Amino acid sequence: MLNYIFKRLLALLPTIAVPMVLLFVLLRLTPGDPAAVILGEEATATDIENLREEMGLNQPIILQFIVWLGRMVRFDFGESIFLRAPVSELVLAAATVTAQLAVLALIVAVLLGPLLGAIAASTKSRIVDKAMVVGSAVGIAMPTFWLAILMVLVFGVMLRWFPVAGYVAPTENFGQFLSFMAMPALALGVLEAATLFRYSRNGVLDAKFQPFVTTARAQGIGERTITGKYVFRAALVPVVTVVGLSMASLLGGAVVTENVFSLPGLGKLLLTAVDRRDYPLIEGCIFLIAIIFVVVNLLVDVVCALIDPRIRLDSKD
Amino acid sequence: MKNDQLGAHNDLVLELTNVSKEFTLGGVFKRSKHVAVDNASLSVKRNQVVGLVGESGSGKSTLGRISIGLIRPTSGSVRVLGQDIFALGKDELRLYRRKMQMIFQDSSNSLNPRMSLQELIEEPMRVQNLYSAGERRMRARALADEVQLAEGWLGRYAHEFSGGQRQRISIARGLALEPELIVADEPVSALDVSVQARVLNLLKDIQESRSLSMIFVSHDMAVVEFMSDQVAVLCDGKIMENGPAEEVFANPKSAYTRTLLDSSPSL
Amino acid sequence: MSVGEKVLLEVCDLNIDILKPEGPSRVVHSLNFSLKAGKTLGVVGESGSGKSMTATAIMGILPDVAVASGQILYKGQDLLTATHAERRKLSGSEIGFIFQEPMSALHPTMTIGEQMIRPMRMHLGFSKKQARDRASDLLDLVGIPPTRGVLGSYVHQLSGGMRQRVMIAMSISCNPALLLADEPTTALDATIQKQILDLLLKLRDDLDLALVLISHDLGLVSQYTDDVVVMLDGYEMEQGATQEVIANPKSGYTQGLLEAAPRLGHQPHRLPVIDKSIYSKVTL
Ligand SMILES: Nc1ncnc2c1ncn2[C@@H]1O[C@H](COP(=O)(O)OP(=O)(O)OP(=O)(O)O)[C@@H](O)[C@H]1O
Ligand SMILES: Nc1ncnc2c1ncn2[C@@H]1O[C@H](COP(=O)(O)OP(=O)(O)OP(=O)(O)O)[C@@H](O)[C@H]1O
Ligand SMILES: [Mg+2]
Ligand SMILES: [Mg+2]
Repeated sequence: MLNYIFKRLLALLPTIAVPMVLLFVLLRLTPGDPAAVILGEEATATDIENLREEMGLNQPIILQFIVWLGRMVRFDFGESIFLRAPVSELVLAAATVTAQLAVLALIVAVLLGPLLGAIAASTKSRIVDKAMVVGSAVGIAMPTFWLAILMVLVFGVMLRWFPVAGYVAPTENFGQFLSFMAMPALALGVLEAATLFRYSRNGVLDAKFQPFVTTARAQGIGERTITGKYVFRAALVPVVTVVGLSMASLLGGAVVTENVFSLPGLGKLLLTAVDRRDYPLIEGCIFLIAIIFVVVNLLVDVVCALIDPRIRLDSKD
Repeated sequence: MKNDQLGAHNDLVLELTNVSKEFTLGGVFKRSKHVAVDNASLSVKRNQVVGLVGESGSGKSTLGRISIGLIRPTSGSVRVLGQDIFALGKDELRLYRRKMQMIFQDSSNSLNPRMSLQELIEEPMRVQNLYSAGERRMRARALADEVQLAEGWLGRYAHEFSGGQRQRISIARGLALEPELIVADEPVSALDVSVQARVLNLLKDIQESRSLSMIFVSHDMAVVEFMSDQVAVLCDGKIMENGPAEEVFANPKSAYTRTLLDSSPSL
Repeated sequence: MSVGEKVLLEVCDLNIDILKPEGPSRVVHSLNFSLKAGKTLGVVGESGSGKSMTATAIMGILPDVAVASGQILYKGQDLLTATHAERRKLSGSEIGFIFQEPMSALHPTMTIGEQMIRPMRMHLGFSKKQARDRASDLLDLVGIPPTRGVLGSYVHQLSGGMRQRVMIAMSISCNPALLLADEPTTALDATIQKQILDLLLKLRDDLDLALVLISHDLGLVSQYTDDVVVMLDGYEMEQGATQEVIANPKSGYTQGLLEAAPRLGHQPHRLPVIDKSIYSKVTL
């Protein structure tokens, strides 16, 4: 198992390396002087020259690459050009906020989606089922920012239940943290729940008619145990996989949501960095996002193998 | 037909050399090992049917799966038509699968519940991109008819069939691609004698007319005798005995083979 | 048939219909048979003739699209009109079922042990340890020694015959009075088949178990059953004491079944087949 995890991490190195190298190349391929591009039109010649010096752009490209590679391997991303702070610190601080948002949204999604899915699959009322299916279809189709803005309007501006934008760290004031996070987490989580709902409902519907459920019935096992143990355990596998995929779309959604609610997260940081062409900061953000994706994917595979014995992680069968 | 062509070295369709398979049992962390196939060597010539017998759990299905590249042996080599199939890349192996098909022991488990009978039989042809859509439809109908599945049932789903009917769907799927090697794992175990006779006759006809090679797994000695030219006896993953069918049935060398033959129920 | 023996199961005029949008289609037509405690009834017939449907109707686990009518009396109680709760009390404890396809009948992500233990804890009130020990003993009885560690395995890790034996061990774990065995030994060679049927017969003698043995294997049915029902396309073709039916089949279809069986050491180039249209009561 550990062996497998190690191998997987190794194999996924390219997932991280490719976007990074691409970023490096893109910057150098930009027509004109990268330093001038970064600093924009109003920059003076000395500013540009200083930046060229700082970024090592005066050296031959091969040398630049080697130096760059050396820094990447040491996780040294240098300083942000505009914020004038170490990239690693900025990125980590922002990632903490994003992680909090993603985890809260995931909790919302995981509590809501599978539960409603199981209810829709088991209810005898076709109307309830239909209504829920339609609801989830709307949720899947709705863009995150749209729901986010709607929520700001309704709960923030009209009802004034929650603050419209801003962030307080949980260590500072947990209650306020929650009130700031409630809307973004719900906006993100509810939409993710819609996807989970669909898979859970299908999973339960599939499992419900499997012969092993009939076997349990023939053994006199009660309907509640059948649903809770036999059906649930079989429906779980596809749902966990989808939860894993959700993590990816949650992170994507977080970028948008953070901007709507002005949360100082990775998404907001990345957008700011791109906006200002702060290349070291972009590199830092992309690097961390790639790492998060890799680790999340691996986690999902391991969890799937734990709940489904048919999946063998480390053999080539 | 029972034939032993001479000097037919290049006529080897399947060649298993010192094949072993070790399974790890238990959960993800707690483990034990079990040797399912132990240093087995076996070859099947063109137009030859090798019967594979042995007690339950002796490794017949595992050996069958290895033969068509479904599971990788722990050691040993598997050659189909001279090609080491485990040296092939994933995509190459997928294309090569067309030449080798398996009729599974637990057939209904391999049937997609969302496909109708028509689609189920067409599926292997579609996956391999063979024939035009019209031809596929015609072939599927013909195959369904050959395994005694009525024309009116083509729109039914797998769970709407009886156990024996599902087994016949599997047989039709196995034959759909005109493979060169078929591993038939207990293909007629759920069939009554009459339908079984039809299906066995069909298998034999097809085998003879296309010079197919076949591994035929069954615990029913009479059925094995009817189908096979050669018989291999498996015990605890090892091949105990391997020879022409008449010989093995007339003078079983191993005690195990003798018990198998003696305890066959008869009317 | 002596007067003292109790009839355990009586199937009267059983019809089973499959409901389809284009109208119902009948797969079992007015079937009648009865079974006494301690007796064995064989059900043979063509593939698709309605054997499994009949058994699932008795067990009360017909698929949703199928409806049964008529009467199925178990100890005098009509199972077709029994409530859900009444049925549950019988299922698994008084009536055991061996499924035809063990691979799909067993849960894919639960260990064999867990699946075997739950009914015993429920019906027999066993502790976890007691149930586990009994499960282990039962597996040993069907020829799977405890050293194989099957209780901790999953169904996909077992061979076809092992799955079938797990299914059998499971079905008798709560000492049923009636066992419905749907093709219980199709994946087993003659040696183990004999071992298992001898085990079932021992239960019959010890516990007065009544056994319905569905099989396509006439050799098996002739050796192990008292009475036999022969089915074709949902109709009963013939019924009677097994030895009688085998020795003097009244129906041409039964006759055909007896002749079509492949025999060891007597190998025609082609096996004889039955033209069932002569015997079928279904008008095409
Ligand atoms: N995926 C697996 N994981 C672990 N063990 C396995 C797996 N598949 C098979 N085995 C074990 O390998 C052995 C051989 O199994 P196999 O299915 O080849 O037997 P078989 O000869 O086909 O038996 P049968 O006649 O009962 O079908 C068995 O003991 C089985 O438990
Ligand atoms: N869910 C279903 N919907 C429609 N038809 C069905 C369904 N299940 C079974 N049938 C049909 O009912 C008939 C009887 O099926 P049954 O399973 O009882 O056969 P069987 O005698 O057990 O056959 P086998 O020996 O092949 O298992 C078959 O023709 C089958 O196609
Ligand atoms: Mg097998
Ligand atoms: Mg059946």
